[in-house]
Amino acid sequence: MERVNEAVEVLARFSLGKMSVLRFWWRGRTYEVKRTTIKIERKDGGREFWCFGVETKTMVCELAMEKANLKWRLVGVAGI
Amino acid sequence: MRTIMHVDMNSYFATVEQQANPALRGKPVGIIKALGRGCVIAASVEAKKYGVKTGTTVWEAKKLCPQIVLVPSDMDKYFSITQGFIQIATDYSPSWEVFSIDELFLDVTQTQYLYPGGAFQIALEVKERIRQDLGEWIKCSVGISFTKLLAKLASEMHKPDGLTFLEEPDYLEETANIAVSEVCGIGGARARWLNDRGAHTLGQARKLGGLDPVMADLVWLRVDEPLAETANLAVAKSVSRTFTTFSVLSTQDSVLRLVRNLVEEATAKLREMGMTGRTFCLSLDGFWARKTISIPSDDPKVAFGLLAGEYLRAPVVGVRQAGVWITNLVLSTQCSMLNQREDLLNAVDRINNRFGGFTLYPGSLLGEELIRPEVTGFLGDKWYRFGKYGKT
Repeated sequence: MERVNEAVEVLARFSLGKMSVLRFWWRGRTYEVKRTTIKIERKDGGREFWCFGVETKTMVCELAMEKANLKWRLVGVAGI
Repeated sequence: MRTIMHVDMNSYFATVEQQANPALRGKPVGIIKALGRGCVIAASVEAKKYGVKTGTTVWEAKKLCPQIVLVPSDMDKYFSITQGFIQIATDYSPSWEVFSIDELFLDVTQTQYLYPGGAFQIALEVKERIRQDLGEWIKCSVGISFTKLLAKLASEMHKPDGLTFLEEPDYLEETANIAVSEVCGIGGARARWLNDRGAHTLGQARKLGGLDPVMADLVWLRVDEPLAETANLAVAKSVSRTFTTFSVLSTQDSVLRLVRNLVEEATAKLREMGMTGRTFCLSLDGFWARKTISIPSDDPKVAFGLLAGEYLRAPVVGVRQAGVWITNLVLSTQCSMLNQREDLLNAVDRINNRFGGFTLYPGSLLGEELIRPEVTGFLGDKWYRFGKYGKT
């Protein structure tokens, strides 16, 4: 997976205690999420992140939301 | 008689990567430590069919399976999934043992009566919930028996996605054709000893006379250890960090820089666990040193000062492997109110906690890529991660 680590805008749904990513915007383009492949938690020191592996039409990528400030970043991408 | 369940995640690291990236599913995948590394640390089910396994060199793996996809490991990702499956499995019993990053024992002796289908139903539910909550590609094998040893052996018998019972009175017959080396407790030396006497399977080994009591218990599967429940694990005895470099370190400065990085990590872990150590060890290719001090410390400056002093007395270069160990650990106690160094370290830890690991670090490590902390597969710090002193 190629490392990106750029801020992105994300549309997410909170339903029945679960969060799912529906769409995100990166470098001027809109990406519809076909499915979430994996959900994990990461830590960097004391910073905690919810991370989502998502599949779009053209790529697989990891999106991370920092729990403390709800900011989203596109961590990395891989072509499919 | 107890009912023990062993849950073993199949081809774990590779399967998690295939779950995360659907393009890898059905393909032979080899997990490597990082790009440029020489060894496969885990192989997918598909790669195993070509003979690729843990420890196979990248060169060999490509020869055995030219289409193999090599993926750098992501230990945080695997550990997060481990936490998920621990959460699922431990919903079914309060008595459990984390055996490694991908294995767990569950004592369902009492709780199986809460389910109409007993242990069988629990096993099916665990499998289903793993599929639903963690991902459809992630599979586990479950073994159920009356001891840990037998449950583990049972889970190995049908992979992937198996569910196996080993019960009285047939368990000896059912395990007769299993290789002796498959038994947890029969390591390389014991297996060689048995093989030299013509015993390659448990059935053959049971026919041998003159087995010592420990070997006999292993061969007849009589070992019955209690669960090492994480809540009751003893406090850590040591903290260590080892690293293999991408290229040979040919100068004293570069060796000391690596040692400093490892010392920073090990002492940060000590402080995170609220512990200090008295004995500091350094291992390099062709070099080993140990230094013990009277007052325990968690200060990287103290640890590095001791180890660098030892190193400079007999410096070696041409180093690829380095390890730092801190032992003789005790739980930290409050030191002098006037200890400014302790205040400084606390402040550094708080900044690194808030803004991310290695936000602050020694200037001597500037300019090159840092070696960062990571989870290990055998979860050496599980007493801290899951135990009564732990954070989760």
